[in-house]
Formats: sequence, C-alpha cells, structure tokens
Amino acid sequence: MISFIVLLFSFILENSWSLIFYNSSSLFLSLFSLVTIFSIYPLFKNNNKKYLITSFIYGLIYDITFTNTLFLNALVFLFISFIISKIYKNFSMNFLNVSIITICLIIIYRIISYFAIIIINGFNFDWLLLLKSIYSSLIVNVIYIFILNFIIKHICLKLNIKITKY
Amino acid sequence: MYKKKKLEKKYIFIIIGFIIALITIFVISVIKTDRKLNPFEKVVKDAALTVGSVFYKPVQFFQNKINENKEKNNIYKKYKDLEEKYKSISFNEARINELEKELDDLKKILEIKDTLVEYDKINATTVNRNIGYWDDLITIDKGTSSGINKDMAVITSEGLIGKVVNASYFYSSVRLLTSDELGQKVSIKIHLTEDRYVYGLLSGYDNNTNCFLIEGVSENVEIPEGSIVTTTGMSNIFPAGILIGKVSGSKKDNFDLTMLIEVIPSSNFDDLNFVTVLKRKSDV
Repeated sequence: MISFIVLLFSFILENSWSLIFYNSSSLFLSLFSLVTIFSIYPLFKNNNKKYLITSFIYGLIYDITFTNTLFLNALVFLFISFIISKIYKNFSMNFLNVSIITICLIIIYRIISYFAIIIINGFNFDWLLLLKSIYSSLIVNVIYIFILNFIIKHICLKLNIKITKY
Repeated sequence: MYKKKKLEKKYIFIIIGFIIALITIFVISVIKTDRKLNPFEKVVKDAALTVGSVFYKPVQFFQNKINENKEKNNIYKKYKDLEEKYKSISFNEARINELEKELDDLKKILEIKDTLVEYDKINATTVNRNIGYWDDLITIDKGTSSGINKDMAVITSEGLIGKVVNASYFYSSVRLLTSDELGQKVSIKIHLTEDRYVYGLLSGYDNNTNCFLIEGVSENVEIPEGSIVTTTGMSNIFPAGILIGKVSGSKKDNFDLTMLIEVIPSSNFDDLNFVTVLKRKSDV
C-alpha cells in the first residue's frame, strides 16, 4: 500500500513539476517516477515478481499518460527494476552508493530511450542533446531520492511496517 | 531421423524469426507518438491526467499569486504600453471590419464557402510539458469532446507553436515545432514587401541557435533581416497567415548545397501555459 502511495505521489509530482520548473535550459528535469522505482524496492520484501510486475504496469501508465510511446517506458522500467533487484542484493545502500546508482540509472534510462526514439522516429543522432538530457536530470533526482528514502523510512518506522534492510 | 530433427530445428528458427519480426513491427507501430489512441489508452490517459490536474490546482493557485505579485512591479510601464496600443486599435478595427465585409462580398460573388485564413478557436490550458524529453510534447486539457482532432494547428497569442498529434476524450497531445520529428514540414512564406513573398518549407529547429530553419528558398532572392514569416495555408493542417517568427539570418547547409534561412520564433516556447487550437473552416 505504501509503495502504491509513493508511486502515485511521484507520478503527480512529475506532472506538476514539468509545468512549474520547465525551461529549455533547465538543470532540474524530473525523472521522479524512475527514481521512485529504485526507492520502493525494500517495501516489496524480496518479492521480485511483484516488484517487476508493478514496475512494468507503472511504466505502461507512464507511457500512456505522458509520452504516448506504448510499451517503451514499460519495458525500460522493467529492465531497470531488474537491475535494481540485482543491485540491492550486492551493494549496501549508503549515501555514496545511492547517489552513484541513481546517476547510473538515469544514464541507462536516457541512453535506452534516446536510442529507441531515434531508431523509430528517424531523429538525427545528437551527442550534445543526449548529454544535456543526462546532466540536466541529475541534481533534482538525486535530491529527490534522498528525501523519498528518508520519508519512506520514517513512515515505515511510525507504522511499524517491516522493510527489507540491506 | 537426423535429417528430420534438423528440419524441425529449421522450422523452429523460422517460427522464432517470424515471431520476433511481428513483435518488432508491433512495438515500432505502438511506440510512434502520433498514432491513434485506442479506447483503453484514452480512458487511462484521461483518468491519470484528471488526477494530476486535481492535485496541480492548489499549486497553480500559488503560482498565479506569485506571478501576480511579480507583475505588480511592472504595472505602470504596461499601462503606458497598452495606452499607446489602444490608440491604434479603433483605426485597425474599422479597417478590419471593412476588409471582412469586402471579403464576404467577394466570397458571395465567387461562390466560395470558406478561405484558407478562416478558422474556429478552441482555448486550452497546458497540463504537462515534455515529460518524455525527446518528443517536445505538451498535453492540453481539451480533447475530442471539445471538437479537437489530430493534426489541428496550435498557437499562442504570439504565433504558431505546433500541431495536435493525438487526442483522448478530454486531453490532447501537441507536438511543438521545436521537435526533431522529420515528418513535420510547414509551408511558409516570407514577407519581403507588402505584396511580395518568397515561399519555402520550415524544416527543423536548431537547438544551438534557438532558431527555425527554412529550406527551399531561391538563392537569388535577398531576404532582409527582420522579414516576417507566416504560414501559407497550403496544407491540410495549418491555416494561412499564422505568424511563425522573423528572419534573423541565413547560412549554407552542411553540404554547402542549399541556403537555410534562420528564423527567430515569435512564440516563447518556455511559456506555454495557455494555448489555442485552430479548427480550419475549410475542413468542416
């Protein structure tokens, strides 16, 4: 239930953020939905199947609502959540690791989605555009994941909900 | 026996290849952003965006209050500017009325139902902006229930900004002219003097200079900086006479073959909170 609320919150926030802080040269591009997938993994208590299905459906809704690219984000979210499930088993989640992993996930997401879009729509490949899309998304999303992790931890403590610790 | 097994293996590879090809075709067709939405997508999109809009309302309220406060500082300067403009409005209104009457009379004589410049306006508010990043899409809060359909032109008070790529019942996606999508070429004309034009095609947007690029313009014509660029209406999408921008310069393309005209957009693409969808009367 908490994971559902967190996903819904990030979804709504991403929608509003795009209007409030949009600027073509902005350094605060949001990928809240993507980083939320990383944040909510402990709430699934090692139930990988449920986690992957949730990520896929979430990606599908993201596709339909925001990008109109049916299945693209669903498949990318599924792939990224698979990576996340492996990462959680092999790394401890401290400040530095969370930052590095979030940055890596953003880079993976941007590269896959950009290549998919240029192959399908026939866009011209532009290194600078790809680079800009990556560095513009880093600051705000790394801050967001720390805030989200902090909130999730406190809610779970208050409500006595057990989460998987790594 | 061995030959039979080998044959079966071959069939399995063919079937797998066929399935992969089918999946690829399916994925490519559904990833395209300008396809028609199916009823399931329309319902999900409407529901999700309605929830998003409800939560955005209080944020919008505070955002408007902040903007109002900022505007208050400039209020006297704006008043003076508007006062200047107001003086010329009455003169222009009278002229427009006269021209409209003349146009109606000519249409009656020539038995023309509608011209390329006529359109109905549908005002809309933007509910999200370019979340997918690559497509330069905005979503507006009017859909098929308000009469919006695919390929309708979208403008702001400053000029043309894009076209509708798909619509659900209550929301529509608009692809901006700044998008990299190759299929979106707009027929334009550059106003050299009051009755002399040069025609061309708006073919793309340069992210480095923030200018539109126009191709297909004859190299023999000298185009002065500041010339106004508008749509020609020679397509099924954009009505005639919609402002696009002003010429800022020209350059050769990457292969040094054709001349590209650079145009500064008249619309501010960073501020698209309120837009207007144009429904061409000649399409009705």
